[in-house]
Amino acid sequence: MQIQQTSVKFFVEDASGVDDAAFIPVFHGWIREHRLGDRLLIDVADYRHVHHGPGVMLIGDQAHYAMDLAGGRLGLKYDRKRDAPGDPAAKLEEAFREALAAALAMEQEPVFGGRLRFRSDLAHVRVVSRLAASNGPEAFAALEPSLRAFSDRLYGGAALKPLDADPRAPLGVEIRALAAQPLLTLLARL
Amino acid sequence: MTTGTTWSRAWRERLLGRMPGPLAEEIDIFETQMELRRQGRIDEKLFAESRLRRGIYGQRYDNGQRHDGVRTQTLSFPCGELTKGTQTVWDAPGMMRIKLPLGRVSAEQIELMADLAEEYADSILHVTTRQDIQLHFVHIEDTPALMRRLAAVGITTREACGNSVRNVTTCQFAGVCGGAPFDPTPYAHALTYFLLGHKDTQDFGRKLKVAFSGCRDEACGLLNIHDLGLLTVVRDGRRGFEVYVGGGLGSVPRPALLLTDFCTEQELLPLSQAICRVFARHGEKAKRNKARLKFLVEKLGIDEFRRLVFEERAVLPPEDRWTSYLGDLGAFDEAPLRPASTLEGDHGPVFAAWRATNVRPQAQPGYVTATVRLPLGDMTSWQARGLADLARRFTGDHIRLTIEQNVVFRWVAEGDLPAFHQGLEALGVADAGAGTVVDVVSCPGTDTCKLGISSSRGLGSVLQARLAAKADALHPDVRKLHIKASGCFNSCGQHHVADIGFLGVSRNVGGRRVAHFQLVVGGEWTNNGGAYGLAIGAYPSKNVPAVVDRLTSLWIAEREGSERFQAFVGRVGRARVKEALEDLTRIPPYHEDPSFYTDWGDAREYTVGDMGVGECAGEVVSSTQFGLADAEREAFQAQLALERGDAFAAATLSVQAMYSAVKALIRLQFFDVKEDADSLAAEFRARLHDTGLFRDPFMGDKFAQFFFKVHEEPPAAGVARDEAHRQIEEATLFIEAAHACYDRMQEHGRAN
Ligand code: SF4
Repeated sequence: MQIQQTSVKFFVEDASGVDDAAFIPVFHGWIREHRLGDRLLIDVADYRHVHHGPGVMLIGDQAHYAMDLAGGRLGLKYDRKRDAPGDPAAKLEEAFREALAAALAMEQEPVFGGRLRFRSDLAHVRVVSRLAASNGPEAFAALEPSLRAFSDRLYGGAALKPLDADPRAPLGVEIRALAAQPLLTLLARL
Repeated sequence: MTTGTTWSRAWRERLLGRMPGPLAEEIDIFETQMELRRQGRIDEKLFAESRLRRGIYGQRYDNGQRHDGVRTQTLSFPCGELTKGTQTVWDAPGMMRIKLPLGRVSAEQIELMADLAEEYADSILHVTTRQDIQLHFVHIEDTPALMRRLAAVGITTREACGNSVRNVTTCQFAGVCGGAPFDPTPYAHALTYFLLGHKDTQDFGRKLKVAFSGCRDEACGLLNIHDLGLLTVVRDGRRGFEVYVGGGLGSVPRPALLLTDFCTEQELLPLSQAICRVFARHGEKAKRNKARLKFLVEKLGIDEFRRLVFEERAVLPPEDRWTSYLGDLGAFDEAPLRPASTLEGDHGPVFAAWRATNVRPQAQPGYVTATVRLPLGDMTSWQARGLADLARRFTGDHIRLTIEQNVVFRWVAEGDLPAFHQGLEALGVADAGAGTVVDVVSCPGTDTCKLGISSSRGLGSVLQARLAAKADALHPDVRKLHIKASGCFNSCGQHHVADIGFLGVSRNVGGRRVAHFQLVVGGEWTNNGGAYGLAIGAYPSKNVPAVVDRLTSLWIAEREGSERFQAFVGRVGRARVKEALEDLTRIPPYHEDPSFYTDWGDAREYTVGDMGVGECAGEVVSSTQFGLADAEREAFQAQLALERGDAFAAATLSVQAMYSAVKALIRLQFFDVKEDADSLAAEFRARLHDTGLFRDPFMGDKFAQFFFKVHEEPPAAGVARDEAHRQIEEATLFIEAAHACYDRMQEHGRAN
C-alpha cells in the first residue's frame, strides 16, 4: 500500500480555560518569525465561527496546521497537502515529525504560560487522499502493519482502532499508546 | 511530473467513462494549457483568463508578498518566477469557484465537494452570495483532478469566473412558495446551459450576471442588481417574463431597467442571446472599469439598447435549443420523498424558535422548506456529509444554496420537522434566525480576497455572535433587519440592498491606517433589491457593533408607529442618524488602545509599512485630513439636499466635495494652489493624474475620470434626481480614492 496526504492530530490535555482567540496572534507570529524553520507558512484563517470546525488555521504551502475543533476536541492538527504517493512508513514519520514539532512549539508559546499541554499518548491519523485509500476495514487492514510497526517504534507499543465507520470519511485510525512520554522524547525517535 | 499532475492523471484514469465526454476533453485541454504555461509557451495574461473561465481564481497574497504586521515579507514559493497571471505566483494558493446553477445541488454532489474540501482546500465549503460553493487555498496543480471529480458528478466549473455568464441564480423557493405565477426553474436551467460556452458569450469585456425571480415584491432573485433579470409573468394565459437589463452593484451601482414587459417563453433564449450579442459587440473592452453591461445601457440609453437588441434578435439564425426544452418542462418537477404530514404538539422552545424563523410552509399542503443557517456561509466537510444524509432521509435531492449563504431543504414533510431539526442539532447547524438580523451576509473580504480593504468576515462573525447572544432581547422588528458587509466597494456582500450595509474602507489616523466601514443605509432588500442605500459616514471597524446597537435603538425609540427602518431614515434624515453616531467615528490614540489599529480576527497591526509620525508629517497629515473631511462633509450635505428634493444643490455640492478633495491633495505638494476650478483641475491633472499618483491599483483612472467629467460638464439646473444620486455616489468614491491616494503619497514620500 502506498499512501499520501497524511494528517495527524494531537489533543490538548485540558482545553478548559484555553482562549482560542490566542491562537491567532501565535500563528501570525509563527509566520513572521519563521517558527517552523523552512516550512513556507502563508496565512492564518479564523474558522472559530464554525461548529466543530478547523478552529484557527495556519495555512502553509506543503501543509496546513490547525488548532482544530473537530469532534469538539481541541487539538493541533497537521494536514499534509500536495503529496506524492509513497511508502507508509516514510509518510507517517514525516507527518508525526511535523506535527510533534508544531505541538512542541505551541506548548512553548509564552502566552500560555506552560499551561497548554498536548496528550502524548493519543493521536488521530488520517490518510486524506481517496486515491490512496477509501475508508473501510480493507484499507485499515492494509495500513495496519505499517502503522503498527511505526507506533511500536514511536511509542513502544500502542492500540490501534479505526476512527469512523462512515465510508465517505477519510481513512482514520486512533493510536493509543500504552504509556505517555514527553513529546520531545517522541520527536527524538523520528 | 508534478504531484498535482500525477494524481490528476490518476483520477483521469479512474473516472474515464464517468465524465461527460466534452467536459473531460475541456479539462484535458486546460491541463495542456497548464503545461504550456509551465514551459513559458503561453502568455501569463492569456493563461489567467483561461483559468478564470474554469473557475480558478486568485487569492490574497498570491503576488508572493505579505505584510506580517511589522514588515512586508516575500513568500518564497518553490516555483520561483513561474506565474499564473500578472503578479500571480504559480504556487500561491487560490480559490476554486464551483458554479452551481440555481444553487441546486444533490446529496452526491455535496459529498463530493466535502471530499474536495478535505483533500485540496481547508476542509471548508463556502457558500457565496451567488449560490456557488468556493473552496479556498487550492493549489493550481490540484485543479484538473478537482474538476474531473466534479465532472463525474455532473458539475462543470466552466465560466464560473472571468468575462463570462456567471452562475445563473434563482430564488431558492421557486416552485414551492406559491407566490409566483409559475416556477422559473426549468427556464433558468435551460438558459444556463444554452448560454454556457455559447459562441455569443465568449467575447465579453466583463462578466454578465443573470437572475430569475418568481415574485416582484420579495427579495427572491434580486433582479434589480443584475445585468439580466427575468421576472415570471403570465399574460392572457401565456407564460413569459419581464426582462430587466443593466443593473449592478460594484463601485458604480445602477438599478436594472425594463427592457420589455413581456417576453414569451419561446423568446426567452433568443432574446437573451441577442442581449449577449449586443453586449459583446458594443460593450467596452479596453477599459475594464467601464465594461459591465450597465455602462453600455447607460451610454446608449435604454431605448437605443432595446432597439439594438430587437434588431439583433430579428437576424439571429434559429437554433433548435431555443424551444426544445419547452416540451419537457416537467423534468424539473420535484417529487417528495416522504408523505405529506402535519405537526402536532409542543416540541420545546428551541425547536419553536427555529421553526419560527427557518421554516416556511410550501404551497403544497403538508410540506415545508427548512433553511439551514450557515455562519458566514461556511460548513465543514463533515457537516456537508451530514446534510447529504438528511437530504437522503427526508427530502431526496431537493437542496438549494441561497444568496444569503445558507442551505434550503425543500419538501420536508411537516411532521418530520422535529426529527429533521434533531439531525441539524447533531451537526451544529440548527441555529434559528435565518433571514434575520443575526444572519449576517459577508463577502470574503480581507480573509482571502485580493481586493479586500477591511475584514468583512471578521466583522460579520462578531456581529452574528453579539446579536445572537441577545436575540431574545432584541425588538421583534430589529430582528427582521438584514445586515450585509462587503470588504470593499466592489459590493460582493450586496451591502447596497441591505437595511444596514457596510463597506470596507481605510482611514489614516495619526499616521497609522485604521480599518473602517462605511455605513450604508436606505437600501431595500425586498422588491428584488428595490432601492440602493447610500453611505452615510465611515466608522472604525471596532466601533461597528456599537453603530448597529445605536442605530437600531434610535430607530425603535424615534420611529412613528410601526415605521420601517428605511422609511425612518428617510423621514428623520441622514443628519439625525449621523449626529446620533458622531462619537463613534472617534478613535483613541494608538498608545491608549492599540486594538483599534488591528482588524477583526487579525492580530496584525492594520497599518502598512513603518510610517513616521514626526511633527512635520503630523502637520501635513492634519491639514490634508482636514481638507478630506471637508470633502466628506460636503458630500454628506449633498445627500441632505437630495433628501430635501433639491437635486441641483445635491449635484453641485457633490461636485464641490470633489474639488475640496482635490485641493486637499494638491496642497500636499503645492500649498498655494489657486482655488478656481480650472487651476485645481489643471494641477490635479499634472501632479496627481499624469504622474499616476491618483491611479487606483485596481480601478485605474476611473475615479479621476469622475472628476474630469464634472469639471468639463458641471451639473446644470434642472438636473434629474437620479443623476444627482449618481453624482453623490461618484463623489463618495472619488473621496475614498483621494484617501487612498493620500496614503500612497505618504508611504512613498511624495508629499511636499
Ligand atoms: S466586495 Fe471587495 S473584498 Fe469583498 S469579495 Fe468583492 S472584491 Fe473582494
